[in-house]
Amino acid sequence: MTEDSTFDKIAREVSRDLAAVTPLRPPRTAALVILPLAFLILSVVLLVYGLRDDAAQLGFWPLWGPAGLMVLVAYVVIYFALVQRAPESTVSWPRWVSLLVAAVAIQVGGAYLTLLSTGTPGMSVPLRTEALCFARISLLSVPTILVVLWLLSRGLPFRPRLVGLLAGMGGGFVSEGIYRLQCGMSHPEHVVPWHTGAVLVMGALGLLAGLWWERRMLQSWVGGRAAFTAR
Amino acid sequence: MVAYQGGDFSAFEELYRRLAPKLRGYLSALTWRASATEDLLQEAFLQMHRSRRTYLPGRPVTPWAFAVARHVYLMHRRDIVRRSKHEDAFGDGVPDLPVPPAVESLATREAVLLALRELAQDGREALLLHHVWGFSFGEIGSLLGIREVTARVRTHRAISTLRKLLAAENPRGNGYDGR
Repeated sequence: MTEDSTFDKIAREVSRDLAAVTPLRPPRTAALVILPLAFLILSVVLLVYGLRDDAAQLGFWPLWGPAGLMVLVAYVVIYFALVQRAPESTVSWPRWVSLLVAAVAIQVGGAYLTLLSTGTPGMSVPLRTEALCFARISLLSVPTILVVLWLLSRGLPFRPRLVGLLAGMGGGFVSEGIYRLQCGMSHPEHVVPWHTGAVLVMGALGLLAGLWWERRMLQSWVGGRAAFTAR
Repeated sequence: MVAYQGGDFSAFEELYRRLAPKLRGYLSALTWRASATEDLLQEAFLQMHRSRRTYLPGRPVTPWAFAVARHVYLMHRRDIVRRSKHEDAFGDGVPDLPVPPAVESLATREAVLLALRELAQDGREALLLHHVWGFSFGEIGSLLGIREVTARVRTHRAISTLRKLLAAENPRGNGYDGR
């Protein structure tokens, strides 16, 4: 194939669809989508479940501070996912691993600080009550994860599995942070398995979504290539 | 690139004119197959067209275009793996690659290209991106998903290996001082 024929073939294809496109928003702006979603989750938590029983005793900052901090953490995690929508921006593994470890440490540490300011609550709650936290955090994170995955699908990330993982964990951190306004159990024995566990499971689901997307991307690329060659 | 995003065909032509030679060299370096390069170049430009919205105005265009080309190459490689086609790593001779200026005085062009072929692919890629296409180590890190310092180490190791290979090939070296 000559260089000229390469250009002619591409030019024909390009001229078929030369509609103007709007560039993607910069990741720091796009990640702000988390704010309305956080507000939506907050509304659901307040209207459906209500504040935790010891909210008045806790005071403003110990109650709202960790929740706000977790929304900020989720913003950073989702920002790291959205940065990778642009193909030339791939995050190295030490950076994303450090980010996720720090995010989990902040989440567990924040809950522990709340525990210190309230005194140790008894841990003799039924398993069903604890599992409810897991289920609600997981459920509340779904809208954020879907929106972030949709935003990611508009780009061309190199590592769909990684961005899926970040989207899942980002969504999990938002809902966990806000759901903490309702859950009165701040002991690590509860927080680590049922809250952090939910975030990790959502991350794993995001990773699976990324895996599926990666396969679909490959199939669509192979199909597109065959169609192009046939023309 | 911004004009191309706005639907200007002449901007695409200009982009092709500027980028095609560089991308052809890059894809040659990745595939080491002249026959695959032209197909992948087509695919890279089509993918760039489909993904033109992912270019963020104000950023340099070349790293973006190289990243799209790399994406196409990885798809091609995954497709081969998926179909279990065991192609020879180096199929049809030496591709028409630019020679890194850092070693061009050490041997003939053919000898340099043959020595490049002996390098591990990750080192060769980093070396060519830095020494031939002028990418900074930060840009290479971002493109390959590695740390800047790793990109620097890979490049330096590759250039050092390349110099050793050329010295072994031509001990008197055309001006090579053995360092």
